[in-house]
Amino acid sequence: MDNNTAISKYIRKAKRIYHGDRKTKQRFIDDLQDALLCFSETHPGCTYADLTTSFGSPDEIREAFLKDSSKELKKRNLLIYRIVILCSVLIAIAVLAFTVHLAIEQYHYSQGYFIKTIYDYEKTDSSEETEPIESFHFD
Amino acid sequence: MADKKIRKQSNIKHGTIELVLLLLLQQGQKYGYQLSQELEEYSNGDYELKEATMYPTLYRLTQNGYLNCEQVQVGVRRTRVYYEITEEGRVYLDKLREEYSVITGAISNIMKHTD
Repeated sequence: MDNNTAISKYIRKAKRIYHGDRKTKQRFIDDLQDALLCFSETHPGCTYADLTTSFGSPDEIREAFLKDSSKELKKRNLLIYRIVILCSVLIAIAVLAFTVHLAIEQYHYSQGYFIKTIYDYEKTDSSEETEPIESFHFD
Repeated sequence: MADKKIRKQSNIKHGTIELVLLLLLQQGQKYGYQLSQELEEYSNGDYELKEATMYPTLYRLTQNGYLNCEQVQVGVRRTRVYYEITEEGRVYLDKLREEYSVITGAISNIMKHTD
């Protein structure tokens, strides 16, 4: 196995194992490839085993990246969790307000109090305040 | 040999990776492999930093604005990334140095009292 084959194998395994952010992955692969080529220049005839001894196995790479990204991941998850909680609270408040409004309306209706409002749509002058022209009150 | 291996992977070392990388980068622009080689050389082989650990740290430092990076084409389909410390990075390095001094001093004192 010549240098280039060993490097290609290492890069291929590293690419396959690490499934992180695409941009970071590409940057890491570029960095790693340069480092491997530098190593092969100073160690002609190096094998895949030599590369794993010096650079760590591709598994180690994944573990290192996961360990490092775990803090970011936790932060992101916490943010998502807070957004979900906030949305749930807002939805619950909206549902509660609507239910209360509906209950009050039903109560008034059951008490025989009903207001029907008819607006005069003939009026075109919007500067004037629109007033109901007809109101019913059943008591 | 086993003791040395443990030392190389210790938690204490893990907490100093940012410090040592910034220390090397304050000398000037450097690329990844160069950093790992210099670390090994300056520490007489006692501070070995694998690429898998070094690059995520470099990316984090870059993301936090402590380092700048520049991509340079060094061959056909070969890109080299040079890292450079920023002003913010120098401030952060001073802070890390201070923390390191305080901690090592404190641990030395504890060792003196307990040995």
